Amino acid sequence: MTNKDFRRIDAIRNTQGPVANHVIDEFVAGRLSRRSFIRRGTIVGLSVPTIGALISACGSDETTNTGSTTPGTGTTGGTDTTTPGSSAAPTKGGVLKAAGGAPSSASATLDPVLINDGAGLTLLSQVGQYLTLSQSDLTLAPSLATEWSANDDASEWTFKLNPAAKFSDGAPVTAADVVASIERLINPDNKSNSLSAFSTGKLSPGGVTASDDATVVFKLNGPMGNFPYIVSSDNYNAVILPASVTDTTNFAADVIAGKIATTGPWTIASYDATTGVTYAPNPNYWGDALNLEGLEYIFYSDVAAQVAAFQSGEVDALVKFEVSGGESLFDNPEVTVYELKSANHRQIHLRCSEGPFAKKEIRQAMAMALDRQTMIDSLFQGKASIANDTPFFDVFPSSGSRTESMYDVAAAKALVDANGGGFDVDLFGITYFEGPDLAVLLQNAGKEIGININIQLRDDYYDVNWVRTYDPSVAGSNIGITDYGHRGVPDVYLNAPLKSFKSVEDGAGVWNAAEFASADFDAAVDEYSASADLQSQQKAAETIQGILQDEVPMLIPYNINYLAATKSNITGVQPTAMGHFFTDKASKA
Amino acid sequence: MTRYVLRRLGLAVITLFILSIVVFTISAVLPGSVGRAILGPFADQASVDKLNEELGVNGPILQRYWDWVSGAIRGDFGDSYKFKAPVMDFIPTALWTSTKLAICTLIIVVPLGILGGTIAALRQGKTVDRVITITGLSLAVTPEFVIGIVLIMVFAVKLDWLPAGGTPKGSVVDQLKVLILPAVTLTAILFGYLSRMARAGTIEALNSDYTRTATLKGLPRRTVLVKHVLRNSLLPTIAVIASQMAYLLGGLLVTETLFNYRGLGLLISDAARGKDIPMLMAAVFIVGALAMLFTLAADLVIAVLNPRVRLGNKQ
Repeated sequence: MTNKDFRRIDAIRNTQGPVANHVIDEFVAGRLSRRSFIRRGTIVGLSVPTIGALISACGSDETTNTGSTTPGTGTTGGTDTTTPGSSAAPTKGGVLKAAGGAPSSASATLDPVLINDGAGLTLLSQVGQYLTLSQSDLTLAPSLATEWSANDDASEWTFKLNPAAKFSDGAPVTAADVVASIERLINPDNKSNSLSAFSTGKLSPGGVTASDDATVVFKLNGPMGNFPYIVSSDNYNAVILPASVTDTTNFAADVIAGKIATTGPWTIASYDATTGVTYAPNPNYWGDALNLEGLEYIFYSDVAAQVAAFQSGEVDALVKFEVSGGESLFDNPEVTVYELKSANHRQIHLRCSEGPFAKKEIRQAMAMALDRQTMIDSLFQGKASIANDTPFFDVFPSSGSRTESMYDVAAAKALVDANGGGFDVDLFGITYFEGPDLAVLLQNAGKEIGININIQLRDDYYDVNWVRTYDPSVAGSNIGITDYGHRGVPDVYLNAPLKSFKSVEDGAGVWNAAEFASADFDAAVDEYSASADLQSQQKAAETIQGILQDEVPMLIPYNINYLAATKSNITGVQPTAMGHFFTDKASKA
Repeated sequence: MTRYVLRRLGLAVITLFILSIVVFTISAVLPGSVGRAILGPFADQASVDKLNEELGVNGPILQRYWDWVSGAIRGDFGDSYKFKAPVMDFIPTALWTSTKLAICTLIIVVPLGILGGTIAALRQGKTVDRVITITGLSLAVTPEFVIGIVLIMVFAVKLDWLPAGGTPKGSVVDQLKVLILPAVTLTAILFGYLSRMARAGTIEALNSDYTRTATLKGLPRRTVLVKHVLRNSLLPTIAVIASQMAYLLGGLLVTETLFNYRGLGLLISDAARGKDIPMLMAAVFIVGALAMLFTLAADLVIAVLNPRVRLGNKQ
């Protein structure tokens, strides 16, 4: 960086708090890349114009790529879309038909408190909005909140609401609405799906208050540097509803009946829990006017059926598809494929407390026996990234992920031989996604080093063979495959599946299938979560990665890219790796 | 005949009772926690326990069975765990959707199967017979999804003549467009079975004494065929059609999934996977009851057409 304009930089610094100034200082000193600066800057509440001004003041003539700050959704800026949308003026009119899975049991009525799957969040986020938007490049964009900032140690976060934001009934969005919406989600009596996210975010009941009509203050139980993600679209349950709403159990029906007002670009016109949803424009939408005149989401039970419907032109978009079954969509000139870097991954826990993997050398041997690149090539045709057994994926630009190869079968075999030799073990895990194929690859890898893996994938894996930390009646397993969805920050991955289990109420370690317990690790994670400045966070991340790669409580061979597709006449859709499929800027030629 | 009908109805009631026990038992022994299935693997255990308690899934099994049976007798099969609404808000719609496909399939496959079987029987051992038999067998052993995918790729994707799937709605023409590909898929599966039964029945009738007598009496061949051979040869075919009705109404999981056809098969499959026990029990019970009713109806039709059946029972 050359030709820095320190006068402009100082002028900006004088308007920011200590947490934001630390990020600015890191960038000015050259210790933060431009990409990392944009991402960290949006987390700590720097606005896009401010970020752009700082980049300019530091001598870069590149424009920022954080996406739009228009209300609602943001853009695909900075993503890895393989085919960007058209830059021509959008066409007005038309109905976009999208295909996707049917919501799960918890998501069937679109209750924002209970929604727990991709279909549910896709449907909900057409009508509901969040304080901030986690974009496809993992930067945060304003949505219902225009700005946010932390106190000195990031234990208290203040969000300013957009004065233009209003509900579909015309009422303005107030701080009281935010307080009621968030309190509903952190009330343990409501069976909220986002309890674990708020637990990670260190927010307890009573912790959110309205300091005035347009200002919300979150007082956390401790410092939390990534808190804005906890109230972003990343935590997909956290849509803001009117404070008057007391019951969300029949959300879809109540939105149709006009009993529940929402802020999003669409409102639900019809909802058939077995076939699909139709949306009509929200007449009081506070953002830019929509290009489309309607949106339809059709439920499919099968990928092949979705792809066939897409290819025959019955639907215009696939909200999500897998490489397996979607091969024909790549290199098709009539199809726009959106390929997004994602933190979606599989964890293969290795039980540390007892059994054949109790010795860490055996766990290390398993890690060395995996040919991760071959796994990625065979399972995903290369549309995934190598991960080396920690949740610090390359999708998180500031985490300093370690990607050096560990593959060494001879060393792995020697390690097994030196520690008692081979053994038989049952492998449990998920029966869907690429779970069965991954199990076979693990079996082959085990065979190479003398470990005979018997595949025992079962539909009731999560009930019987997953986590026994808080329920001794569960059998658990020595090795098992668990699927984890995308998150914008690694905090959840570090807490529930890896920290030492204390109690259900505490939240830490409740998904710790590996029964991994390390005081050093727990301390490093606490330090990471509490870090408000990037240097401390990266230092803690290094420590965490060192511990995980030495102890190997779990194998994480890869993180999988998110794939969505539209017909080439559709432009402006904004998928995210979380599963959102924003259409407020979409048009159909 | 009245006695025969009453006897069959009595057996039907007993069968329904046994069916209710079987359905309830299967639902009760499905592995895993209902609360966990609904709230998802990452829900905290306290929430799962609370939901299980609210749903009453931990109560005594006999009590749960009695609650279900007494409700079912009144037509109240309970509320769906998933949709949080009475299951009977969903089952009739899905059943009617499946019925449309079943009717469409039968309209195609029954005449085709009988015609194919009869022609094969009349040309027994000749090339036509072999072609019909081998074609029917080949289609019957080809998985539904293979036939379905080929039809979709040709008629929906390449030629763009018909939709790749969906649930029929709108005008009759629109509905027929949606129904054709899944109905043809099922026709391909059922044709071999039906034509073989028709062929076997026709050969048996052709070799019977009454056919020989009719021929020796000098009746025209057409009259012999229609009045003597077909009337008798179709009796077993009626039984086959009745036995396929349960499959067509509630067992079309693969076809319904492939064509995204929201019938009863898909409803049952989703209910089983999501542990929506009230929906699962009601849907399976209703399909079972319908299967029994169709079998009963077929038996009665056969008894009417063939006096030996009812007389045999009387004796």
